[in-house]
Amino acid sequence: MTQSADGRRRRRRLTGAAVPLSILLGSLLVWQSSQAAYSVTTDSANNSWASGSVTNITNTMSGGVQFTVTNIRPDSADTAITYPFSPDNGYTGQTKCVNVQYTGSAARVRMYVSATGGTPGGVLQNDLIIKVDRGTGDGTTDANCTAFSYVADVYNSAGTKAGGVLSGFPGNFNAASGNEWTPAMTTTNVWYRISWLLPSGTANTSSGQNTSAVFTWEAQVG
Amino acid sequence: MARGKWPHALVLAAVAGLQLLLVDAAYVVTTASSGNTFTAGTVSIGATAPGSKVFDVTGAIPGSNPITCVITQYTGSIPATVRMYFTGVSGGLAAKLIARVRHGSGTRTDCADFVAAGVLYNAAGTLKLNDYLTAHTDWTTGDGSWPATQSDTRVWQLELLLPSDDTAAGLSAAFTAVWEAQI
Repeated sequence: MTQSADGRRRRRRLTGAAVPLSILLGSLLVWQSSQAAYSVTTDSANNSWASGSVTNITNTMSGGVQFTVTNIRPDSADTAITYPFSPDNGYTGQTKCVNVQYTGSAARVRMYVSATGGTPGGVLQNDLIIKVDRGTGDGTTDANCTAFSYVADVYNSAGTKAGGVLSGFPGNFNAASGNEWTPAMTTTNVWYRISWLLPSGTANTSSGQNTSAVFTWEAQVG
Repeated sequence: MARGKWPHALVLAAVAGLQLLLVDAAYVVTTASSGNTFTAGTVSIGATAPGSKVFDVTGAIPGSNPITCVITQYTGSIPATVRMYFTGVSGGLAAKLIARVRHGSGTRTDCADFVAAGVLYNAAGTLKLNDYLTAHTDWTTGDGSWPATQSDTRVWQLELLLPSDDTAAGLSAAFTAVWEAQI
């Protein structure tokens, strides 16, 4: 009985020593293998990450090209905006060109209407046809679009009331995915041609109403 | 051990997702153009007639010669064209009555200060009311095209004469006069 109990104690002591021993052996092996080989390495040059930047975006509409018109009225004949666009006069329809300049990394630029207001419950924004397209132009001050050259549609390619009125313009960046402009890295500018028309046949319900709009161009990188 | 790995994997995925959102939101720049306003004009017109009626005549006898001036004022903000026409024409008397219609200026509905500027109907003084009423029944056929701008006024004078005609006895006539402005 006593011998047997002593033997168990001895085995436990041996077992307790085995674990540190094996760790020690492992360390020796590693040390030996490190010692054994000549080494040579190659590495890449420094990896660096530079963030993209959306430095600046400007538009000439905020510099005085905006529409501020009172006493607008339905055109006598036109029901759609088609170019060359010739409404009765500046009270029934207008066209203006806006230069948008972007500085920064390659980005996605979209146009949306960030706010509309006016007569509470007013219907004018549901009657006002808006058509926008994008293109090239001359300089940065050609508000009358004399040198505008079409590149792509932005909103309401048909130019009709069914094709797009002010209230239907995309209201934020995500909603405006259909009109993306992708300037490459550096400073780039583009022209937006914006037209409005109160079409012939507009009902009396829009008489005396008013509405306003803030056009926004937003650039995102990533 | 296998069960213990899942929570770590989930935590890592959640952190990565958050980082993606932060990157997306950080690189944005916008330019906006305020000041775009559109205000629609108005088209409206008012008319003043005695008791809101052009004529209110009973017991007319041959030689009766009622005269009324209707004063119209254009109050819309957009220049428009105003025309006069008639609806709800009824009764046989209109075929018997001689009528004359003129336009001009003045301030009184009894025409005491009316100054004629032009004759719209029956310069000779022999034509009947019925022919005039039935010739002008809507905007398209309306008479007296008046190019009006805001606050303009025009006076429309309507004169009737019941001639000596026994067949007119007991007859009546009614109509509604309409002044419509369009751009």
